[in-house]
Amino acid sequence: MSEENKKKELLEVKNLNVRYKSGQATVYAVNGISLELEKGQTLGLVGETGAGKTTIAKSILRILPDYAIETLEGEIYYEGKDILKLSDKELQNLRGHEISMIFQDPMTALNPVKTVSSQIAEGYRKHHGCPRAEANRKAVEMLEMVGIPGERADEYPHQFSGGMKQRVVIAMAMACSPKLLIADEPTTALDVTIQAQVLDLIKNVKEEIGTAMLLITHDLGVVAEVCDKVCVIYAGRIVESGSKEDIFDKPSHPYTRGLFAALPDLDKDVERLTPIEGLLPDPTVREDGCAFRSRCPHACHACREFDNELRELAPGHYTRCWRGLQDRED
Amino acid sequence: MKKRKERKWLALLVVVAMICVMLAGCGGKGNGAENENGGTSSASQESEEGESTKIKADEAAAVSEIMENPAEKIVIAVDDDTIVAGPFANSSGVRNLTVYTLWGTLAYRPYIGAMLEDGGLELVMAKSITKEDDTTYDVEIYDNITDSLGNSIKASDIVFSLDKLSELGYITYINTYYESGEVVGDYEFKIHLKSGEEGAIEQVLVNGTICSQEWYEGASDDEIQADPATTGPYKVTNFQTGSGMTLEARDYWKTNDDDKSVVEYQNVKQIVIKSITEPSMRSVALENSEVDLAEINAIDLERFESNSEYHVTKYANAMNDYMIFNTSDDSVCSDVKVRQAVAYAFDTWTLLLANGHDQGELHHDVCPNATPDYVDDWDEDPYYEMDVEKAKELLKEAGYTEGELKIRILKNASAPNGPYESLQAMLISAGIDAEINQYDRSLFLTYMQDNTMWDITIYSEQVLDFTTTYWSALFSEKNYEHGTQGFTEDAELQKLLAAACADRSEENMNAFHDYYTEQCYMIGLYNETKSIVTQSGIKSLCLVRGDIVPQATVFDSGYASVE
Amino acid sequence: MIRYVVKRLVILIPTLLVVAIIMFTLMDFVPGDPAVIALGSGNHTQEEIELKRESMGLNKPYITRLGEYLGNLIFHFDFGTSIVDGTQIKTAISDRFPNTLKIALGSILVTIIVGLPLGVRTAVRANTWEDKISLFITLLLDCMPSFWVGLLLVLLFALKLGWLPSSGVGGLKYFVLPVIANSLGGLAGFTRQTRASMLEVIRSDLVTTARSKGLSEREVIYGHALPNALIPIITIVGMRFGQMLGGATIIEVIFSIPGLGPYLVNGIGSQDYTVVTGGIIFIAFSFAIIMLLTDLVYAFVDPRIKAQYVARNRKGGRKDE
Repeated sequence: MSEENKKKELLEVKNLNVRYKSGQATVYAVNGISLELEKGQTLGLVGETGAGKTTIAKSILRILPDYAIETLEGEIYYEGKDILKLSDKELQNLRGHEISMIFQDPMTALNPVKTVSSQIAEGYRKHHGCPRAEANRKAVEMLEMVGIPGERADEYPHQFSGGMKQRVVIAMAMACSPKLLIADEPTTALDVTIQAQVLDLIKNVKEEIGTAMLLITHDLGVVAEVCDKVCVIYAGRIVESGSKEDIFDKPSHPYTRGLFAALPDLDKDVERLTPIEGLLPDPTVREDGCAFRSRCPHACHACREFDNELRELAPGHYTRCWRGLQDRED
Repeated sequence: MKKRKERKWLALLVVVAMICVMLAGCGGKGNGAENENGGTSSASQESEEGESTKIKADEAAAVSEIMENPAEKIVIAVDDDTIVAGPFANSSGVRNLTVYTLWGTLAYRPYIGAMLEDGGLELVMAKSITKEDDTTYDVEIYDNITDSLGNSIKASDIVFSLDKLSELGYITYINTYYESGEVVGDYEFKIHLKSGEEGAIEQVLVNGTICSQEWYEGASDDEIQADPATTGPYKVTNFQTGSGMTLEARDYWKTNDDDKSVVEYQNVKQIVIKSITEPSMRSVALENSEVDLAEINAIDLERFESNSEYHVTKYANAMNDYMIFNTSDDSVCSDVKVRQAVAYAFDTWTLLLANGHDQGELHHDVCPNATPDYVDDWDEDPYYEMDVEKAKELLKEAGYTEGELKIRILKNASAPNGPYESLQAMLISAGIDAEINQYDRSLFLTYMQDNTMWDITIYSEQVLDFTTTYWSALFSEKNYEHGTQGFTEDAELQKLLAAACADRSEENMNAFHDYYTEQCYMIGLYNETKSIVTQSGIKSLCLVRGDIVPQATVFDSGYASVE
Repeated sequence: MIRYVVKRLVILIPTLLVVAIIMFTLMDFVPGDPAVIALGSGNHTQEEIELKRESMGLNKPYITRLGEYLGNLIFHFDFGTSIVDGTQIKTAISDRFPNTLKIALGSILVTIIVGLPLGVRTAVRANTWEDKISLFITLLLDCMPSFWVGLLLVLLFALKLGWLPSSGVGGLKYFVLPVIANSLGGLAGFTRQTRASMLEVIRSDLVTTARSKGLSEREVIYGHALPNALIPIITIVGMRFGQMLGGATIIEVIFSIPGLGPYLVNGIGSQDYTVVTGGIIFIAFSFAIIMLLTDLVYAFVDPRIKAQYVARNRKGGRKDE
């Protein structure tokens, strides 16, 4: 944010706007997102499905489907360089090497016709220009690091279970010791018991290599485990951002509070859960005013004229609601 | 929303287009026959009777001269892909071209109707042939005959070959006439015939291909078909199934040129035979200088006729078309007036033109004027020339109103459509409802023997030696279960035929000819003129009615093969 | 894996037996008398026909004849002799098949060499002008009848330019025009299938993963996308190849190539029963072999399929945590 911090910053996204084309309509997927990430930090992006989180992640690596994109505006600075202006060659150097990504569905992310070690070794060899033997050795090393015995290096993805596949994906992503790891809902597709394992693994590997992480999730429990900072996303906009403590202890935006309220609580004795009323707004329509007002229990007609600017509630803690509910705690 | 509308219009457009195309296809058919008839009639106004080429027996003789310096090579395109080089095989395009080149027979017939008695035969392997009695002949062969592997051919080999041929049944005439052979000495034997009919001994002498018994019995099937020990002036040096073969002149045993028959000449060292079944591709091959000689369709002929680089030789087709009437009780044609009505309703020349030819010979008998016993006067007599009024009158006399009579025409699927559609159109305009029933070749042959399946059909036959032989093939009750090829049971007909066969006097010939023509049992149609095109370096071809003797071709001094 | 191959080969035998029995029986029902056909055209007496029937063994009961035929087929690979000219069918097939094989192989190679890169390229550049032009051209070629294309090629390359011969067999140059004429027809279908297959794979997650690793576009498309798109493509190649082995008849007739096509068609036309039966059994056999080879290629390309083939022998597959 300030000039001194710029040197510490690894990643800075400024006013990212992404629109898809869908038939005749335009989908406003990402509307003016800005965020920063420092070295070694973990930022959690929380939001419902369809909020635009994956789009942000894919924009950073520029692996969005070209044929479907209508507009991609804004700036994404990595170590001072704007990713959106890089050439193809420079991008290829970046991907898998400086910035890696872990995908949501391990069942489809791996190439079924290649062995797991060759898929790991491939990226390594590409970025280090080393002989095959060395790359293969590195692949086995990475597999062991994620808990897969080296003997299984020459097996194919279909011979592994879901959890193990995700471990392979992690091994692939971390092979070149990237500075930034983007994890897009890495545990969503797994069973709960495996989730914990994979999460631990990510944490450990991250610490060992010193990677910063952008973790995308809809699970607040995961956020609590792993993240330093949190951004809450709704309808393509960040509605609240701050440190983990800020968000968990003093949630201010009605959406954030709604999310926490919807969590099942063992201590409470209730018959029904309390979801947030209503549905996500139609992404093809762009309205003025606050996007959440149709579902907000506190909405009034002033919200219709809301300018959608972020307000600082405390140092580092921002909210996009004019009421600033921080003081009206219950 | 807009896209859905677009799609609907597009779908409608496609459907409309498809319907239009379908209707366009249907519309053409019905008018086809009429247009064709009208079209070809106008063409015939120009190429009228003047075009009718008459090639008589003495002109269609195989004559040639021996060349001192034989040419190197000749490349011939044939229209048939059954390539066989063995001693015993069916008659076919390739076979007729090569049988005498590869295989020796006892004698050769240089023109139609050549007879032993008159010295018309050219002797090949036989040194002398003497008649002992009607069914027995003494034959002496040369004592120095060898085949391409050096085996010497003796009388026993001859008898073996004739017996074998008879057993295998490829040549009908051998089976019909040859009874047995009797070896008398190393180089002498007797031929016993089944009957003393005129022409019988000639068939045996001319069609019996000879090979060495020892070789034949020891050789594998492959060797027999593709690499045989030949007894003719050439041997096989390259054989490709279905594609062609190369024949090369060998050290021939007969060294005295004066004794040689034309089939024993070796005017060219190498004969290359290529099979090209598609007629248009043969024209292309000729134009592209890939072959020296090819038979070309009338349609493609134009560009060769006007071109000085090529030479066109015309000949009368060996196959002669004639019309058969089903005279059995199951057919409407059992009434002679119906038959005559049909005969007067069409014009034969139009049929020939409809087949895509513009030259040919109109017949005045089922047999063409190519035989020694043909009576020339018949060509002057009227012969059912087209007379629609008369046809309609006869129809009325037979008791049919216009359009009431239905006639079924039997057609072979591999026969060209033109003549049949033309015939049908002419019959319809004369008030006869004609319907063409087409079947594939084998079914066609089966139905030809079934008198409930057709009323008229067109068939063809080859002329061998005599008109009487030709007549017998069509009319003799010895060959048919029900009288004749047209199911005619007529004792008078048989009597007259027998008389003509026994004594070919002009009186007997006239009697039979007049009788069956008046009864309109069968009508002769035509044979078309075919063309062989050669490169200009070939001076003359040696051929009898389309059967070329390649080894007797005469070449210009500057001749060079295309290969 | 070997066991799989052996099993497939063993299953081949009853399949071919069934084909042989069906063909043999069908030919029995076809109207027309083999003896008459064998005697050839011209007129024959009833006596002659009866004698011929005897010598051909046609008066024996159906089962006996079927048994003899199958026996010869299985133990001696003998298809019998043609009833029209008495030649060995076995010899004719073995002489003619290599020519058909050459044309089939050549055509498949041309189809793959031209169609695969084209299909991949148009998938990667879907809906651009390049894609639309390529669609137009391949469809145009597909709509042209092969014999017309063949004749045009002959007119241009043989007559006008004189570079290539117009017909016959010999060296390599005789096969150039027939192969080109034969392959043009299937090119459109093959290219479109490649394109469709590739399009599906290009949008899949594994391609995104590959890109995110920093691989070049070329490595992503040819190293990751294409191998996954191959299965339907291989199916098409296998089927077309099998089809062509039955003889690209029209091409073979126009270019006077002595292949299986004209042999079989002439056999059908002249109702040469033994040739037709033998030819069809042979084609069934070669088609089955091609299908087996195709299935083996699948295993080579996709380890999941290979696992299936191997696992069939044991109960349950291999999957562990």
